[in-house]
Amino acid sequence: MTTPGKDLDAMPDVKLVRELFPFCFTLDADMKIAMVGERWQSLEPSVCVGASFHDVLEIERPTGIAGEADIVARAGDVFLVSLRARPDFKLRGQFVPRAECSCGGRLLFIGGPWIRQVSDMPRLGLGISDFPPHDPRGDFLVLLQTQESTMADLKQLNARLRKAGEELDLRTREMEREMKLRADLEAQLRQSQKMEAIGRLAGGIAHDFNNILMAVQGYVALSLSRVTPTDPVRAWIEEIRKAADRAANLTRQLLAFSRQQVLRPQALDLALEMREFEKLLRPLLGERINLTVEAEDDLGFVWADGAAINQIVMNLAVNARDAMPHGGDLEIRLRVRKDIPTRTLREAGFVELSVRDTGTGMDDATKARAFEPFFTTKEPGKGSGLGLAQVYGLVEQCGGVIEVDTEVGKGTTFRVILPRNEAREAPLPQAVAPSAQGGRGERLLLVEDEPLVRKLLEQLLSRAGYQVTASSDPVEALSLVQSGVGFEIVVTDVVMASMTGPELMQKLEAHGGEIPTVFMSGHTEDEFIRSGALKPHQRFMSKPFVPSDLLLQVRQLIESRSQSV
Amino acid sequence: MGMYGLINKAVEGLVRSKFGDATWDRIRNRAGLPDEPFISMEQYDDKTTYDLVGAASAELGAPAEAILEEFGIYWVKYTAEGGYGELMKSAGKTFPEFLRNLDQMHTRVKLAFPHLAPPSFAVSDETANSLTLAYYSHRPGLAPLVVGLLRGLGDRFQIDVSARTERVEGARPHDRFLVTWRPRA
Repeated sequence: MTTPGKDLDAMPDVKLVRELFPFCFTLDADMKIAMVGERWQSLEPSVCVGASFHDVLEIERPTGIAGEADIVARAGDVFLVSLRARPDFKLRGQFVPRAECSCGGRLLFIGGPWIRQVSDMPRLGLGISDFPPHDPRGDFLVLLQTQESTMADLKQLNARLRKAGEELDLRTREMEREMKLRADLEAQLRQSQKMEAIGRLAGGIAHDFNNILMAVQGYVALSLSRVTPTDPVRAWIEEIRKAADRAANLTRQLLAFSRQQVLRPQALDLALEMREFEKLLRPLLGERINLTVEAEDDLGFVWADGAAINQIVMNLAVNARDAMPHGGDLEIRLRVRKDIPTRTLREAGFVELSVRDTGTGMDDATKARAFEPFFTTKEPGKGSGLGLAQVYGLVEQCGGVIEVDTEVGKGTTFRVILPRNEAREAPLPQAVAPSAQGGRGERLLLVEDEPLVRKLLEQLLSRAGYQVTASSDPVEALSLVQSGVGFEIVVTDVVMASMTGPELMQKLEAHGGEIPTVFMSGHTEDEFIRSGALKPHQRFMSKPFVPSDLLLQVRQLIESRSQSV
Repeated sequence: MGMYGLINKAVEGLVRSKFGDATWDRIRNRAGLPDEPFISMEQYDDKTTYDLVGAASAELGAPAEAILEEFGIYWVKYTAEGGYGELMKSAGKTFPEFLRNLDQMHTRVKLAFPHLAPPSFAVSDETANSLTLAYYSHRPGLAPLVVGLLRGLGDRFQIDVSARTERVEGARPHDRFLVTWRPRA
């Protein structure tokens, strides 16, 4: 047996072993420590020469090791040895049995700290230099640590990628929404431009037709006043009148579509208007259509022309009826809409007038052309194709918009959205009942550049008892008045080559004060007429009109004037 | 020769933390680099790092040496906070111990970064408050970076470090730093 102690340190082999394996130790036959590696002194002084192995150390694995013989039997196996003073400090290594070990003792333990990660080192009082260069565990610990850092780096990168992916998805969705919105707006713009162009064309045609129809209807009226009731020609003239009336109705619808119908907008109680109109609508729809009209409370007023609203509802209802040949439900509903974005600050919001049917519905192609004039899906002779076109024009002219939802086989809903008005009360109607339609020799200035119409009206008004001065040129009419000729009333065309009717009246009134005036036109390009900005002593008549209507308006104006004076 | 993205990431981190994101964008643009994150484990040409330092110098109006020294200080902090803190702790509990283990540390780290071409460090003439550090590098002109590293380590170990640089020519040309330190007040 070799004597343990400091003498061993002097032996070159022992010095080498202690340096190479700083955590080594040897045991003698009675399991006492005979030599220790150089790291023990600073790390755990209880592991020292002479100490009993079992007092300071414990073999955790293999299990069932009692003494030297057991260790020798398992020599070559991996041993886990823990410090009794610090159970978390373990050594991993092997025992080498040496009968004549120059290091002293009979068993040499070679190994190092059992450690899983670099972060455990400070807790155990260790550093990287405790793993000698020949010990690859130091490298593996560093490798593990750097890979852990790399993993953290990759996770961070992955998180950034995921976030970037989410942002990309979000932006893609936003872009898709914007593209769809833009496509919808472009489609709306195209549709609106198309309707505008068709409207201008239709309006122009209607204007020319109206002048012709004015003459036809006027001369028919004059003819009828001359023929006796028994005259066989009378029936033919009546047929001409009916045909002219139908033509006039068509041109009126065309004008409505082209937004050139003269409207008289006012604060309108839409709910009241609909309740009244419902009575007229029911017989028109027939018994197989189940009509319901519902209005929200506190609907308020809209700024619109009552007749135009009735025309809109009438056309939509008739269309709905025709889409339900075997009957169905027709629902007219009024409600306030405050969810519509608007470029102006409109706190009052909008009123939605919806007309819903359970009819045949429309396919996409039909829906796209629904508001075009002369487009119809009805059988020839059943529809003019102007009903929805007229609705479109009237709604636009009322400052509203119209939307349509439809599904084949399910039905259609038209939603007319009109600006709500702040008014609290509807205006009281002001009308003066004329005592008679004829004149009493009043001086009347007629200004009309269309010879056919001028000649007709001159005859009509003269026959009715007025003292008519007819002029084809507003400039001539103006000089007449400026030369001192006075008139009680003026009947003038609106659109004329040298000066418009409203311009003429402005000049005449500047010269001699207000004169009752009837404007007439087959084509209402003038904004002041379309917007309804007529003064109380002015009226507008849309050509063609029946002679009795003109006589009525002239008489009303003269009598209003005489009452107010 | 290439450098791992970790180095360039640290340059980016230094600029962003000290001078803001907009300055980094200008420096990156000036260096002609795309707007992409550096990847720690990916290899980049040394030129990328030199271009970044050059662009930072031009953009910030500071000499490249000052930028490198600042980077050295930041690098110690960056690696300690950026996932290599445990490794740095294991490298030494004191300033001289850390410097003694630095070379060994680089060698071991090469296992994880096989293409790493790290410099070599050797400590000699050690006293209680001084030592000589020899620095061998394949890359020219990085001595100011080492001065920064020493100052950064001074911050880590709460000491004030001074370093005098000498260029040693001969068979193995290298930079030599005469390092002294004292406890921080």
